[in-house]
Amino acid sequence: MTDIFYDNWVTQLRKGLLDLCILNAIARGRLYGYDIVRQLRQVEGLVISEGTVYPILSRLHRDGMVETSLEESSEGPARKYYLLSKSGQELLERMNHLWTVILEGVRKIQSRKGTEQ
Amino acid sequence: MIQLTPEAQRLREEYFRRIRGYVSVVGGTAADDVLAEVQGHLDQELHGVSQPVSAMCLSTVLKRLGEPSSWVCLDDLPWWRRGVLRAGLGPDDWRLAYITFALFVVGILGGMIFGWLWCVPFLAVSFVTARAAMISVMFPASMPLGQKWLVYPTLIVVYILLAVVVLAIVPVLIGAVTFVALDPRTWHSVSGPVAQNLIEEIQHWRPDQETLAILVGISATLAAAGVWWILLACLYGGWVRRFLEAVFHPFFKESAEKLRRVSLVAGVVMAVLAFLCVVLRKVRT
Repeated sequence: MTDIFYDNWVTQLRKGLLDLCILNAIARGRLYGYDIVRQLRQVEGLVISEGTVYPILSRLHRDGMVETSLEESSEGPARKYYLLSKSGQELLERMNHLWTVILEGVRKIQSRKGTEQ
Repeated sequence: MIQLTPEAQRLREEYFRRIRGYVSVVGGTAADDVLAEVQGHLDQELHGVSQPVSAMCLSTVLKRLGEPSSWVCLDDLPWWRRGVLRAGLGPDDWRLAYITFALFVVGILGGMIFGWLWCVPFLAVSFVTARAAMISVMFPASMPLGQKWLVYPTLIVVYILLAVVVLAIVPVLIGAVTFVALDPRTWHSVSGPVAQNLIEEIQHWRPDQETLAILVGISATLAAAGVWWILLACLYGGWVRRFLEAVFHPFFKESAEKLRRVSLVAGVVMAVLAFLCVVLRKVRT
């Protein structure tokens, strides 16, 4: 029962965090899909199926948060680059702000729990 | 463009076919765009790997990419469209797992109450639905744990029965034929002057023929088991391996090499035991 609860909780957490991490990854400059996946891999436990990153990018593009450009590559087929749009930048600022507030709040609760014990 | 072995090529095509299926039903994105992303990812991941890339290597990359269904955002769809999608793409994975387990339980309980013949049709149908459930996931290892608990009992029971048949059918048959051939009761059922002469001749040569039939029958069974298992271990490459992998999917593939070694060692042990039986009998006579 605990495992099932934990698995569901992790799935929900990952869903929200993936959007945030992808937007942050491309906030510093344009990247192509594989590069984004490689960056997200560094966050342990965040990406279980790397294929899930691409549909999120596609959805963000559809929603106008991300712009894409296709460029020829010397290493193979043309690459699709992703770049944060103006509205994407605004959204990311709000998301980062909320994330920081939540994280600080959670840490406070955790530390309070630690001192009470 | 990366070069793939024929097996890896088949794996790639299957993966792409499934993605195309999901994308075409979900809509919103062009299938070619998604497949270009997948191909781009594979090119990058396998860049620098010795070519042609093996199926095992490609499989590792595809497992990291996840099930083909992960390339579409199913969660973004309303519930009714998800239902239509599942109906369009085939039976629901969990439904198959539940059916498999229900048939297994009914078969076993029925077998205990009405006799074991009762469970045969239930187990057979349960096995078919279990295999269908396994096929519906591209990578068996990525199957949710809950589904494994529902599907594996049937597979394990049927596979143990099949394994016993594969390993024992040849030695048991040879042992039985040897015993029947040497058993004096068989000779007495044969009529004719030549047969009678033969019976008298052999009975004169060895009066305890029935004991001899049992001993030789056991020796022949052991020897046949030894030879058969060594043969299975030696014929392991190519189509035999593919056949066994297909029959015992998904358990065989992971431990194939280990099982080959076990089969070889067990075969040698059986052959030695058979040899000892023969030697022991000669010493006693």
